[in-house]
Amino acid sequence: MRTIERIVSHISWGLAVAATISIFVIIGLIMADVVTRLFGISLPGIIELVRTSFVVSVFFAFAYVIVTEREIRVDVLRYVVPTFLLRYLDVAAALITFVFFGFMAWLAWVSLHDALTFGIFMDGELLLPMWLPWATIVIGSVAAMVAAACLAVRAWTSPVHKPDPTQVSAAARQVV
Amino acid sequence: ASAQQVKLRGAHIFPANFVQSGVNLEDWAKRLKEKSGGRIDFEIIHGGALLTQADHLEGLAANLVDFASFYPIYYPGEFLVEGALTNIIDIWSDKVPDIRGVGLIHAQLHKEFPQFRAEYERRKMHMAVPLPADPYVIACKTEAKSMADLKNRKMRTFGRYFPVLQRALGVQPVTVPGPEAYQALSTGVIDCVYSTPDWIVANSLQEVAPYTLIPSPGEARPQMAATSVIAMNMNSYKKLPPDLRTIVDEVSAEMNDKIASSMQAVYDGAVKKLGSNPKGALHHMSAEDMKAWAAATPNQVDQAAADLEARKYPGKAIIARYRELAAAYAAGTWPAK
Amino acid sequence: MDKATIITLVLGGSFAALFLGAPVGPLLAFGAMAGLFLLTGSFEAATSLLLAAGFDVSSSFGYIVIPMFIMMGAVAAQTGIVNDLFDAAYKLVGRVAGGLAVATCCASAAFGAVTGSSISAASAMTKVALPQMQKYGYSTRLSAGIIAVSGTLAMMIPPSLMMVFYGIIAQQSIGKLLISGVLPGLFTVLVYSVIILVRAKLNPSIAPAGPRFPVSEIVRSSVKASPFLLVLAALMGGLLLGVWTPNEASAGGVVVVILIGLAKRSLSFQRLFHAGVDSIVTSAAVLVLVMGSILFGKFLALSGITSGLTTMTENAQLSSFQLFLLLVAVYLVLGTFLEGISILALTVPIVLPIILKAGWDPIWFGVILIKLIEIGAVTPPVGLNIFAVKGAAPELKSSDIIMGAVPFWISEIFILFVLYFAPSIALFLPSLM
Ligand code: NA
Ligand code: NA
Repeated sequence: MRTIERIVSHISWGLAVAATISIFVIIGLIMADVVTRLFGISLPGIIELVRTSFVVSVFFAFAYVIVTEREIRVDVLRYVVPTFLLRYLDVAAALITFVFFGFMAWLAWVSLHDALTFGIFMDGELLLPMWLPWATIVIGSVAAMVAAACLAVRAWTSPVHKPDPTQVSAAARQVV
Repeated sequence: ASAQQVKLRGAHIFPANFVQSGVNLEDWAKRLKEKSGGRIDFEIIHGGALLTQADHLEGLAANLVDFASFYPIYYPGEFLVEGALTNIIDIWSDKVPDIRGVGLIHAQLHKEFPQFRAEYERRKMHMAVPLPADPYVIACKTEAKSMADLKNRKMRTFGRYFPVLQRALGVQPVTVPGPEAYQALSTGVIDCVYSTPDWIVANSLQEVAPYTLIPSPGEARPQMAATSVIAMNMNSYKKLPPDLRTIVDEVSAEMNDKIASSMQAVYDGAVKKLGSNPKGALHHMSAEDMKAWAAATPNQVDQAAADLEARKYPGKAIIARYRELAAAYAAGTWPAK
Repeated sequence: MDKATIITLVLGGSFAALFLGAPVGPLLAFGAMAGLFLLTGSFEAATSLLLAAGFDVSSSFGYIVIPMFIMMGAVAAQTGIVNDLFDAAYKLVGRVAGGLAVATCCASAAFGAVTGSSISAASAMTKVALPQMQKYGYSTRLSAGIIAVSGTLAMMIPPSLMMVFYGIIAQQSIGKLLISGVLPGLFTVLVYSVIILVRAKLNPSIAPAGPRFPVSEIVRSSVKASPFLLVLAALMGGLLLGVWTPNEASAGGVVVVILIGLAKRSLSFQRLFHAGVDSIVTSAAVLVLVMGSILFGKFLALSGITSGLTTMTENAQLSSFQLFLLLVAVYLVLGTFLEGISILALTVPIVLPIILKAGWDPIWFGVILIKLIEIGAVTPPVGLNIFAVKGAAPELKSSDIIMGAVPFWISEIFILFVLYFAPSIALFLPSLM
């Protein structure tokens, strides 16, 4: 299990790196558009390239969000729930994420298939193929499913911990 | 005939008072209820609360709703035939159909060419009524009386065909999202927009772009096909009792003239409002300018035919038939009285 | 199963699961799909909108501001620019108990003048201001609370995507709407500041007074902090001169901050990259929530719960003030579990005719609505700004952020009533146009 978890966190890190590169590409595209516009030149297709890259930025980041347990959760009641229940709740929480990305991957797979079969392209001057974003969503969502499955196993097998309020400020100091 | 009652659920992505796809949709549904003696009842969820631009295709295909007004113009990659026509404003022909003609020809082409219907059927939809937009005009921050005045100005653009048309006009196309148009105009990111008078007024763009240029000596030219349509989910349509389905077909056909006059009123009203703006002025482009513009732009109508042929669609036949119907409509020989 | 039962089941189930720690975004989507299935009986219909929501959020130009402004804050933090700013603020007003929280609030307002998204403001300010306030011994609750609430100022102070969105649905002058938010935004800053100072006076341990610094030291630290003003100047200048749109300005802001970091030699490639990863991860955590929230809004629309509410209002004959109270109550309830765009999309088309009939100014009502949406953004369980702070500082307890926001939440209600009785706060500037 340790090995699997290590592989999953490597893959999700790799995808997060791709997501980050993609966001820098977006910055570059937007700046190129702004600067050339000042000189009376309009670059075609910037918006489609930005949109396609942004799908990479968002969907490739999900797996890393999940394995690093950075999903947004409300923990108001965690402090009053009996400890033995927390394990079940954590597994259930991971499964909800798993189902969410499962549906997302399945629907994107169907759209990917259609986009390839019918040669569907994105609105705009470049006629970018739609299989690009759909494939991105399939890859990102499948990785997120695997990450969520890992999280469920981790929640089931590792000792339950109640968050310690005194840890807050210590962790906060590491933020910057 | 069956006395069975059906309740249809509809959705619309803009506020209910938006005439093209909102008021007309409501009118269509009301007429269905009337003509069926109340056997067809309906509920419409307006304002994009249920379906938006991003998902009305999916919602309609999956039968989350039974009908919706929807904009194939935003999916040229998925509605190839219709997307090609809706994105083009024909500035090369001497005469083009008015709003009423656009709707009639659009519906007729759907009847004659299975390729139009196939694109809808793939998404499990039935196209019921074309909803033409009011024709595009140009609104600028500073006065523009002619094509020469537009030279090097920055103009909001979108899609594949508009940038070509705009570059030939001498302007620099800039992509700005719709909701940002107001601010982009006020700060000068763009100098002009090219859009429907209704959209310009709805977004208060005349406050910052008070000078209107109608790109035609007379009334502005509409797109070759309707930008929006009323579509039904295929299953909802097919499972209607035969007599009710006939009513849907009849009402859909009857609606064209009513829609055309409502859109004409929208155009006239918005243009009047733009023309009476005390901060600005309204001008028409001269016939010479229009000729020069058409000469400077590769003929997009022919281009559309070629694009469709390249994708194994009968592009030439469709465009030829379009031109034939347009000529007959102009001559008053089609449709027969 | 009838509609009422379905609505009760889905709302009840979702709320319970939310409080028990389910991931918010996936849960809302899950609840919405379950609800849509119960309403339509069709599995295909229930799942049909999920992918569209995912694609829309991840491919819309408008959402790009979220990672950009988060990254701006993160890079600024890496370069030490923001530390300098808070150092200057501390030296300037830190000797007053609560001064740094006031400075945070003002910085959020300044940040709000360059961003239209309150989520990005709250996320960025968390990265920047939270460690600083904690370093100087401010209570976690006060620190997190002021960041969460003052992040919402980005919606009121122009540019505001929310105002633009309202203007389009309500068909009102967008220019007037944008300018109408300026004075209410500044008034809110004033009220927050007074609350902070009073609370700090009553209980100095939550926001301790710092030492007094000589004038020369204050001047020196202010000069050192001036690069941040350069960022604001570049962003605002670029906006006003028409160099870029607000969305493009967000990317421009990142570039300006990177350039300053390089010039100061305080930014390595590695630090830049880690700031990038951090921003995109935080954004993804927020955006999945937006996806869930959009779907949940669809379920509510189909269930008819919102239209049912407004029909009831129309039938009761109410005085202007009663109507106001009723609308405030309705929007507070909607604001607990919906984000702003969904609230506007769902209610404005229905509510606008009612308020026009009551003779209210739709520009003023826009300001009231934005204020209510600001309140909703810090009201649990679905408080996007609370989540944004939590997403940027996962070690914080949601309960601390929520409790920290409560005093400001109460003051927001007070501000609402001030805006009701003194509408000119909203309408004075637009009347000059
Ligand atoms: Na703002
Ligand atoms: Na809320």
